[in-house]
Amino acid sequence: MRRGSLFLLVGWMGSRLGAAGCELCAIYSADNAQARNAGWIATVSESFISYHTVLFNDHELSGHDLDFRDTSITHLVPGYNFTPELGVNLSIPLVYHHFQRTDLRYSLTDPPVLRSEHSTEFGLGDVSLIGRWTAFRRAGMETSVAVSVLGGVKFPTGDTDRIADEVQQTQIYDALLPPGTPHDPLGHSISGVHQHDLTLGSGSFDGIFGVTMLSRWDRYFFNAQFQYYLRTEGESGYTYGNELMVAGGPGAYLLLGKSYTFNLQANAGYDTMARDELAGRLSNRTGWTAWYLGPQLGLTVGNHFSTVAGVDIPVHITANGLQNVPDYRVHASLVWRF
Amino acid sequence: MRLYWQPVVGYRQCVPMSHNRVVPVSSPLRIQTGAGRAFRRAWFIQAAILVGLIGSVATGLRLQATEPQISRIEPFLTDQVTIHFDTDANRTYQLQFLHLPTGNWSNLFVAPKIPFPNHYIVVDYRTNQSRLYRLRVTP
Repeated sequence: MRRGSLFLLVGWMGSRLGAAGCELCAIYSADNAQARNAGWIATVSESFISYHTVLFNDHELSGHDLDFRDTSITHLVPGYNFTPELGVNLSIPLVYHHFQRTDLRYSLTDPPVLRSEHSTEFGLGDVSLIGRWTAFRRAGMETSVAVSVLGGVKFPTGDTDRIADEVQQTQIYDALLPPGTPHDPLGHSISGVHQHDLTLGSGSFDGIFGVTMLSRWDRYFFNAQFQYYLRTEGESGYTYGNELMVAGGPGAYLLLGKSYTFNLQANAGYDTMARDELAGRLSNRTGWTAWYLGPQLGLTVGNHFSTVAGVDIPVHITANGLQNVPDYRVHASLVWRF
Repeated sequence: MRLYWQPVVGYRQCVPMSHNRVVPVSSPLRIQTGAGRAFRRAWFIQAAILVGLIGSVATGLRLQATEPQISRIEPFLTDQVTIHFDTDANRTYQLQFLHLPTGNWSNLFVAPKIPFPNHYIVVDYRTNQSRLYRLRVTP
């Protein structure tokens, strides 16, 4: 069942590849159970998220030509395991946004201008370095359990021009209002696709923490993971809200061959992100909570290769203010152990 | 300070901009009241007035939610003013000013039709002359 453990872990991590900021997901795809020996691992993971649903205070908006965003994040993840219990990975994200947004641009000298963008953004995102320590492991022929702890840092390597522009618009809007007028720091925006949604990087050093649990009994398995992203102040004083992700679910090996395995897993996910802070104030047009369900397929071939693919369908989303939220998420990853 | 009311469908009011003066715009719904004191003696007239007042209040509430209104005009920096107004969902608003030499209304800013209410602030340059603003809404 050693190969089974490999599939279990890869499949479990793949379930989280849909999250936009899920650095740990890509890392764990690389960190498969079979490779808990010293050596190199290479992973390529892809997640695609469609943001075509527009919510305004939790009510879905309808209309023609609404703003949208399609986001693709490709993670290149080289990794190295020093020992079976200790490893490190570097996550290099390539971010691509295809979007349409219509928003106002305020000025201190002229009336606001309505500007529509139908464009793309592509570039390097924020690189993360994450370590893994397997704190507990029991493995047998019929059952196995492993618990790992993760910790790392996300570095401000991605471009932050869009955040700087958004904060500048906030400052202009603030200046136009009488002093002391209560208003949201993103009150200038009439789009559900904000500049901070399109940025490639945050400009901040963020902490990444996680705990993972893998368990298997015969052909069946159950995995769970907890991730927490501690955000710090970034570009122009913009601070993203901290984020908690919990995911997991049961699965089963449908096929177990001599040189391959094939499994199916049912995943449930919970993501919640606190409100962002800019210009020294929390924005009530940021922050959201989402629940997902979706299937995931996994395949291993030989001793070196594995792949997973899955879909996450949101079953319930709440979002503050005006925001575009996911319609669905598709994720896949390829892992090669040297 | 005078407010000019223009009884044209789609226009709420016209507000003259005055140099160095804040212009808080009050609700026009107050002009609906106080019409029936001369008819107080006849009960049926009183009843009619009561019905009329109820209707006016109801109409006023409805209009308050749908008619455009410039909420505030105030000086900004050295030679500008800011004009504030709120918008309802799914309606297009045109903030217009009167071009005095020609007598034509021109758009200063058009707030697009969006599916949620919003607050707008429009910057305009001050001159040494009065300027009239009005807010037009469609549909």
